[in-house]
Amino acid sequence: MAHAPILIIVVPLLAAFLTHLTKYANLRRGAEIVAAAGIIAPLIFLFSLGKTVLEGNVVKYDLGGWPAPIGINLAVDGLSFFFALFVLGVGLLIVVYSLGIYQYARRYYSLLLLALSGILGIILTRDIFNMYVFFEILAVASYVLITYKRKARAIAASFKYLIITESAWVLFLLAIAILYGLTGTLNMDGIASQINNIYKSNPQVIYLVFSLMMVAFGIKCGMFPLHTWIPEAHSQAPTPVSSLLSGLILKVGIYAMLRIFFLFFGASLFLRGAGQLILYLGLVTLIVGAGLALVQDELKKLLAYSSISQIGYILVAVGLGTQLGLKGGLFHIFNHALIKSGLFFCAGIIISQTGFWKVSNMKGVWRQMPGVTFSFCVLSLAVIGIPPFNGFVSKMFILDATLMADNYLAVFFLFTGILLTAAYYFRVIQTFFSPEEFQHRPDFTPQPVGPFEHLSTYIFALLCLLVGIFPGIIVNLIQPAIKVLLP
Amino acid sequence: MIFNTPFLPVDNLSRFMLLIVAFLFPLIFIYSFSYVKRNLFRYYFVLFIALGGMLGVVLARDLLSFYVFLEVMTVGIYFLIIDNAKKESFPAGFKYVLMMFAGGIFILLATLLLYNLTGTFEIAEIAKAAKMLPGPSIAPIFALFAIGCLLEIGAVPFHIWLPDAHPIAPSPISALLSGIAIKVGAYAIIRMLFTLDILSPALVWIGAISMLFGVLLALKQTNVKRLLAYHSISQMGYVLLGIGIGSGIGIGGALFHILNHAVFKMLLFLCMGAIIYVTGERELNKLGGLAKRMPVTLLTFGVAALAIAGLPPFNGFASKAMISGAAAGNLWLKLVVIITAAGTFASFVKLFRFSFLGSLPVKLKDVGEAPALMLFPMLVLAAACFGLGLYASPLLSGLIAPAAGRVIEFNFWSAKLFLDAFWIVFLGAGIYILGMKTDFFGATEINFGLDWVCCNAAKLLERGCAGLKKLQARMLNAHLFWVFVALILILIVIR
Repeated sequence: MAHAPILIIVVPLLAAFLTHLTKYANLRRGAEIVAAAGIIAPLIFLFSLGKTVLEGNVVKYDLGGWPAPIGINLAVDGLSFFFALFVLGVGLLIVVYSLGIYQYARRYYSLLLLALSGILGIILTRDIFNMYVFFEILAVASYVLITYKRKARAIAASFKYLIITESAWVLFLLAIAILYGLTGTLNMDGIASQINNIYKSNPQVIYLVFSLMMVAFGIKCGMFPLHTWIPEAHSQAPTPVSSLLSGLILKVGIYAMLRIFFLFFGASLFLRGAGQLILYLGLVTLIVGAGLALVQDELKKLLAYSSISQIGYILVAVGLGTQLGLKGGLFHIFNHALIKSGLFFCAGIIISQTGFWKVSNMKGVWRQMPGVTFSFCVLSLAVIGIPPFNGFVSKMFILDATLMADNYLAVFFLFTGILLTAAYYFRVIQTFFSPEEFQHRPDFTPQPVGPFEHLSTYIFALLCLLVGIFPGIIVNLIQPAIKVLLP
Repeated sequence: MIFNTPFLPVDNLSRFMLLIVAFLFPLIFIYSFSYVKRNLFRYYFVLFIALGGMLGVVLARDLLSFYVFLEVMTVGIYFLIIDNAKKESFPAGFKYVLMMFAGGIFILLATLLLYNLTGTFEIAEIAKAAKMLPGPSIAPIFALFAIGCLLEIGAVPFHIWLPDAHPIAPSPISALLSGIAIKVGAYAIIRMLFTLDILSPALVWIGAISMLFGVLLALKQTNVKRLLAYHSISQMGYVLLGIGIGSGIGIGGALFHILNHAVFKMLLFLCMGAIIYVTGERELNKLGGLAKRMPVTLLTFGVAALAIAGLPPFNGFASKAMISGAAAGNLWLKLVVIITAAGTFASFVKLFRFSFLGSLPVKLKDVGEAPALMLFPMLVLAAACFGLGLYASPLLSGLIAPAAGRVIEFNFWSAKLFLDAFWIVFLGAGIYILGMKTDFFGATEINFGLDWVCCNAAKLLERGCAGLKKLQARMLNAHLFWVFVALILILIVIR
């Protein structure tokens, strides 16, 4: 398994193209099988590295045998292991959800695998330009995924997403160019070792690099005021793609922030206000996202705004930058990926059965779909942060970290955020339990929903409960990641 | 960090609360068999979740488990409140769940702050450590904790969820809410009794205000269950008063009143539930003349009404006598106790008069007694009202004094207490006659203002958010504009 790090990226990438070839193989559901294999195989490779990484070691891999300053190199450490693990896990569940839906054909699975391989590349690479390349791979795959059903609104949303994200990557590329010009290397560790000297001689340029990256990653993760692409893209995408966007792609922005900011600016800049900046932007994101979700009537948009609000919690934790804060933040990244993917699946089923996008039309849904409604209730309690579900544990860590930091303003806003979250989710839940019955539009016929869709929502609900009751398992995974960030 | 010190060993206080839950819950189940007709699976599912939450709450030895089970209970009860699925159920449930979550977060904040200070979640250890810490550093923490508990109790000024949630829930659930759920906050305060040095005066006055306010509004209500809900506020005022005074008799009286109020208030809700079940009416002016039709309900209701008014030999008498004995030192508090008791008496005379006496409305010609499965829990509770009153002295020494952890001496059968009871009847009759003459009882709902303020604040918030939504950029140019504005702003801020 000496080549495991590269195989984790390359196997889904190859599988992405292999799905197209299944047309020529005489194989029933060939694309699905290839997709599942393309996710399970990297999981196995990842597990093979698990023991070494969790003991605190770093598995390094030089591409083509070229060492660091010349070649690209990959590394699996605690942080990338944690992210890769839940990306693959949620990716697998997204495939499970898609299994039952016949419209999702080869092209869909191919793009899904491409997106996953992009995410894994971002997570594993230690070369900053390589990271940019993987960001673009991910972006291209996700543009096309959003428009998969070729509806006009989806294409408009995807175009908006395209322009805004590309503007982010232009800024990121600019930052990379500046760093390359200053240091002469694209290797992250190489840049990190020189950045303190540059900061001493020319602090302005470091501020510029930081701001450029902050905006780029802020756009990717949906930080206020750069969140504007999220609601449209999330709500217009096909359901599993919404899950992918909200559960994984937003988190990639946070990952880049954690990886690059802590590595590059950990010593110098982070102490001088950058952390505070992220924290306060996080608080604004949290409140604005929750406030907008409160008045949002479209279910998927509501969930998208809720994602923005939860990203606010994570940003607060990242901004605190303490041991406990990062524990809460990383845990919340994991939890939110589980919860929000599950919620989008529930929403997808409900929308495909009722034919309505708006919450106010979904009256009495629970009578037709008790199972999905139950999952929705469990998942929304989890996202509000109600014990014994997983969201509670991570929010408690974040709350405790802000208390430890004596930042009572942040405590107040976190408090308000939890209540607002409760308000908008219970508004949805009470509509589901309303005594009236929804009426289909006359021209609407509900599509059949298979067992796989239901199964995936139940799995997510069950995972939320299990992680909430046994948070220790995930905390053990997070500890090595924190050791990477705060050595 | 989480769930490593859950339960056990059970102490006397937990055992006392456990006894209440274990005794009352089966009665609610029995009552529900007849009362609940729809969505049985959902109803019993959430009822069991609520039961689990309550058991967890009273058994928890550390604050974090307490909080966890509190929220489990809240969620269970929310789904029970909306079980009727009437139009009003949802706003009431919404208010309930949000205020309970708010209370929960207050408790969680206090828990975390105490953990940061003392390094433990265990209540006993915190109590030990709290003695070492200086007062000013822990006073705000205890205040946070107390606010959380008061929200759970529904004490004034945190009561606005209570008169909405109680009436709209199915009757067994109203009984559950009033009998057990709101006691949890009081239990938590008693559990954290070492905080009392700091909280005592506030608790006394919040208790007194709740007593007066609850009974005043109860007198005005015409919805039978809303009337009972306001009495819950008032009766929990007694409990808070007893805890706030903090002497042995005060705490003992508060614990005893927790038990007694659970018994007689549940009985009252079940009686009213029986009436609603057979007549379908909740408004007093549409009821009347049920005495002959529902003799068993009449009997049990009479017992409960006498108990809540604090008349001997029923159980309310014993605990109220203790609390008023504890308050004897302060003339104002004594006055509050007497007025509240008289008002309670008057309002139950009114409830009795308008539901059981008078002429039977034409619509209710065919009503009969409630089913046996509903009557059985009512009779059991009525017997308990009687028994708990008669055996107050052995109960005090055998159950309540150990639960309070103190030696408590109290003579229940003194002439002075009977004189008090006489005064209550006398004054109460006076208030009733006065109220009937001045048309005070049937008057339209008055707004205390707080509910109005909260609802309007919520509306204002929603309008603000709607405004924010309008501000959201929709054009692509505007999005890109924001990107560059953000870039420049971050650059300026970070320098």
